[in-house]
Amino acid sequence: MNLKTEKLLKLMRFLAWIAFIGLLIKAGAIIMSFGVSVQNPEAATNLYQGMDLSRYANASFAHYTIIVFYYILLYLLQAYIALFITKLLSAINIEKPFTQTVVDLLNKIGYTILAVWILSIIHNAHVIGLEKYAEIDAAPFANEYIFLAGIVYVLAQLFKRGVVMQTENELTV
Amino acid sequence: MAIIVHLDVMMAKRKMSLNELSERVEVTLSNLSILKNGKAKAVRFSTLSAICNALDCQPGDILEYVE
Repeated sequence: MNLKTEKLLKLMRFLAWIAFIGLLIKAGAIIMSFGVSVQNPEAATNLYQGMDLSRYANASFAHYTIIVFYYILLYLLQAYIALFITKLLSAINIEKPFTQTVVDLLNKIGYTILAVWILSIIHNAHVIGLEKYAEIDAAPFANEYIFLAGIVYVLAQLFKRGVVMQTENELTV
Repeated sequence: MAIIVHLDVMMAKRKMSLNELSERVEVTLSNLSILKNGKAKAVRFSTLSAICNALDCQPGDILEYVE
């Protein structure tokens, strides 16, 4: 394997681990801050690094709880994707990249990104609804996850075909 | 319907071991085993002609099509 590619893969794996741990810390911090904000509503002004959801907390505790739940789920799903990426980068072998393990991991990453997209749609519909009926400023999630999920899905299909071609090549005498 | 490989039959007729055939046709033992055990997906013409040359036979002696 090319030394540069090998180093790059190791670096990417390291970064994916950092992202995984960071996202778990982020989700954990939000859970803790939410717990505090149940007793002390002031805490909702800064749940994690300036995340201010006090406008929802002031309007309705139920809506506030659901929206915090969306955020926690979003970061947990992103952490799950980061975990799959670390596994993918460990499993990939540049000499023989087309393996069923890689295809399975790509499929899992694609489906998890799709789940993130569905979650962001539900969250955005919720906050836009609140903006309309309760006049609270909405802060929707980014909505581009579907493109990312599509790209990963196409990549998984290409790898699937690659597995077949690699097997045929290996079984050609 | 399948292609049956009779490499082992021809090797027995010529009293040639897999090792010897491997050396003569310059194909690895593992690849010859794949061919002998009918697990191969494809055979290169160069390999087939080398095997026919080593075993002094025709492709039809090694490969058979059955319904």
